[in-house]
Amino acid sequence: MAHVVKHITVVPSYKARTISDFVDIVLSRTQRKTPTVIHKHYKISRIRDFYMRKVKYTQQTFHDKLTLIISEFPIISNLHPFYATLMNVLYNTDHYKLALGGINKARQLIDDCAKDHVKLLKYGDSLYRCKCLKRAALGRMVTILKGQAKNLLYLEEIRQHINRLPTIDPNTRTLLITGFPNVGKSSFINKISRADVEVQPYAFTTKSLYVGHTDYKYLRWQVIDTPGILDHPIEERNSIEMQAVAALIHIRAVVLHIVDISEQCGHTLEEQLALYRNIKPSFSNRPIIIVINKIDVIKPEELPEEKKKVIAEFQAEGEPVLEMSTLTEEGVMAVKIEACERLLTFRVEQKMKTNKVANVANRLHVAVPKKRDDKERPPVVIKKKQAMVIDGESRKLERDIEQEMGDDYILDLRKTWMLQNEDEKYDVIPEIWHGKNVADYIDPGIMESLKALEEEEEARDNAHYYSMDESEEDEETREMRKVARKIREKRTILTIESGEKRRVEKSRMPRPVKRSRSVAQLEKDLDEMGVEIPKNADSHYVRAKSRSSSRPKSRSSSRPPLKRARDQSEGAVTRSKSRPPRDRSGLRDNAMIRKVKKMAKKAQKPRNHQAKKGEGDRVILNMKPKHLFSGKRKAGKTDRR
Amino acid sequence: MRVEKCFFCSSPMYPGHGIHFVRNDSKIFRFCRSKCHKAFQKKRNPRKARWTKAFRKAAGKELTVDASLEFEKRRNEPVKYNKELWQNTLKAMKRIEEIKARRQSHFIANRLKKGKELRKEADRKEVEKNIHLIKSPAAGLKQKKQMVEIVTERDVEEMESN
Amino acid sequence: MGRYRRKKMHKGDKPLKEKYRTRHRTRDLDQIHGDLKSPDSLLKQEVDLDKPGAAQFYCLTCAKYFINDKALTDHFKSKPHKRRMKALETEPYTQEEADRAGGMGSYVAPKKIEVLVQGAKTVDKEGDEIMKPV
Repeated sequence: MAHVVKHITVVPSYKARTISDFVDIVLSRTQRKTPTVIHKHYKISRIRDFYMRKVKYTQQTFHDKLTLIISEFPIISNLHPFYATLMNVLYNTDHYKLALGGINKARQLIDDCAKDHVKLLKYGDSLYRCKCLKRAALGRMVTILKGQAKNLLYLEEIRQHINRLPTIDPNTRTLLITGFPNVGKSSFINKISRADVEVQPYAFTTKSLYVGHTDYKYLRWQVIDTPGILDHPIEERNSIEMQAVAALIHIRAVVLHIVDISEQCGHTLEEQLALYRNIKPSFSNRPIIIVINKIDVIKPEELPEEKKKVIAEFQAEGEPVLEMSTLTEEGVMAVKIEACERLLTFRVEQKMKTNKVANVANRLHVAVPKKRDDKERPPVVIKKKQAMVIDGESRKLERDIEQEMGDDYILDLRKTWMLQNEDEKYDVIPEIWHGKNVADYIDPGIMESLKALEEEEEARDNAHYYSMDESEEDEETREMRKVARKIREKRTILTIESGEKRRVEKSRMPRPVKRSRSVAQLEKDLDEMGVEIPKNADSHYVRAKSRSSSRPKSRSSSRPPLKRARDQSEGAVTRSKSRPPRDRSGLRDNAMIRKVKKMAKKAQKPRNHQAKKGEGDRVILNMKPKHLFSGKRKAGKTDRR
Repeated sequence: MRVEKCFFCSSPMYPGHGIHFVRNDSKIFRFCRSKCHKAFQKKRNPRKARWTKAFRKAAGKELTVDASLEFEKRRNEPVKYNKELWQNTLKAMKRIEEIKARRQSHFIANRLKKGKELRKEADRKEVEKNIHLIKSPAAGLKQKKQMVEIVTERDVEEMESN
Repeated sequence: MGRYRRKKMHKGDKPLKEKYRTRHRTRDLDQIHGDLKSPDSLLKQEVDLDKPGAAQFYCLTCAKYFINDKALTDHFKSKPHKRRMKALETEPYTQEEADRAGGMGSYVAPKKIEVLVQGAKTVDKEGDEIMKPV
């Protein structure tokens, strides 16, 4: 059956407690093939998409699986009548059609269900609702399938059975063998068909059927033996067997009715004749051959008279009667050839009746040219032209030399060079010198032009053309340049400083508050500019300084204080005016101070490395550095690249 | 084997270096490095890119017309190999390069001379006008005074000793 | 059902880009100098519906098609066109010039050349439009 119906995939059962459970297959596939991670903070459209995809995917998988089942199971009306009848006998066409129809309906229902739920999902407003809708959709689909559980089981059974059906090609040339058991049908098959592997038993309702193959005229022939069906009269058959026979009738075959002449099979010749007459109507319009077997036991001539009469009756049936012996192989091939020839001619006749033949016949035309005259026209073959011969002795070619020298041969192209001096052929020719091509300089008149150039150069030298600006610049200019550079530097500094001063960043302060000037600065500046400053205290600019520092003193001496100073007698402990600075407070001596300073510096070191002010400085200047968060990642890690 | 010149920057291209671009009208453009190739792809004008030889020559930065430049040329005349000629050529090449280098450096020095003059003049003016920025007019006054005092003291001593 | 990945991780198709780059390669200045010598094949083109303006409005100097006469005349007044015209006034740069700049022979400064102006069309005696130099 395999060649008529293509391979049918396994029909998974609804629940078989195995891995190939239909629902499990589909749901796990959905789980595997669709994204699984979703969070409620995702955009709602994304959540909806996520669940819609799940529903649609499940529906699609169901749909595909069911479609596969429907399309792979054969449609009975499209089958060859032989198989159609066979299917009907085996599986009951109505039941079969109902099962497939049920599957089809389930597919449609699942599609509709998915469509509805996707529509609903479009209005899902939260992850939870969407999820519930998805669950409902999948649940409904599964329930729909549950209704088809029995159908699926039935179809799986059919599938398994179909796979085991024999490969009988109803259209090919076939020999069908009938006759009572033990008349020599099986041995006939074994004689004419090839290896015995070709003869295989298989379940044919309650009995079995053998199929063998044989060759005749380079064609393949099927030989079918039907023990249990065509070996007893029609009256003794049950309805199933009748239908099986009906199936066999659809095969275009030549029927070989084998008769045991020796009656060793346990049936008399009369009985065999009766069986033949019984079967014959089933095979009208088919070539039939009666074969008389076991002639090695008894020849037809040696039979008693009444038996001879039966044989004569056989012959009177209007079908050819042949004799053979499967034991001695006498006449076996004759039977086979006769049967095959008859079938072939029968088939040709059948074909001639159809209108297809006319189509082919119209196209065929064999044309035979008419003879023009009686002249002989033998085939003319032109003789090959002789190869051209070069005058004189042939030149010795590189190829010849190569063949002569064998492996020692090295291709030498230079030897044919035509130079002015023959001995320069193998010179190493310089090509490049200091990034220049020697070839660009090659000029037969180069020496003359070089000479001219050198003369020109000499003339220039003599005229001190090159030495005119060799003179060293004098001391004075160099000094001047130095001074000028200093002036320029100074000016730039001044410009920058004034710019700094004028920059508007915060509110302008009056000059005294800013205290931008100091005596020390003034002294330094003037010193730089070469003005000597008298260091004595009565310089006019020193007074301001001295006055400010001496004011409290003078005030205390001249004027009474505006507020009375507190004394110790008032009880409160006055703080010492000379309170040590904070970084020195509580420290014993200078050595300790130094030590503490050193420790502090050391403690600050790692922070300095990270450009932090101190322990408290936890500022992260760039929370998301571009180079860490963008682009394709190759080498490196998340936090350092 | 030839050392070609880059289309863009005119630098020598040794065999195996650079890239060739063949335009669909079968014109060949050679580039010594990706810099030149990219510049060409951007349709830059080599005469306008300051780093190319073409710019330097077109802008008069380098010696352009000279007898020493006339030796290296594609003459497109086949000359048969002749050892003597080749040897002479190699010798001449060295000499020509010498002369060429000398003339080129002289040309550049000459070209730079004017700028030197101008800078000198500017320095002079700067010093004349702005010396007060680094040197106060009052500088050295005190020393002068002291000198005068010392001189007078010495005079007095001399007078006394006399 | 829409994209799931928001971010585009891969930039695209390099061979495709290269193909486009080659296809969109515009004419070089020296090619345009050649075009200016034989402008008819470009200015009087057959109607080609695949080109902008059916290939009837072409600017020679910029090697560009325009959709109509107005666009073309507007383009003639534009800065890029004028810049192009200016650039075309000097001799095109060649490998020979590069060689000369590299020291192979004396360097001769590029000469000025007359550029035919496409915009200033005048009509000759026979009624054909001809181009005139600036």
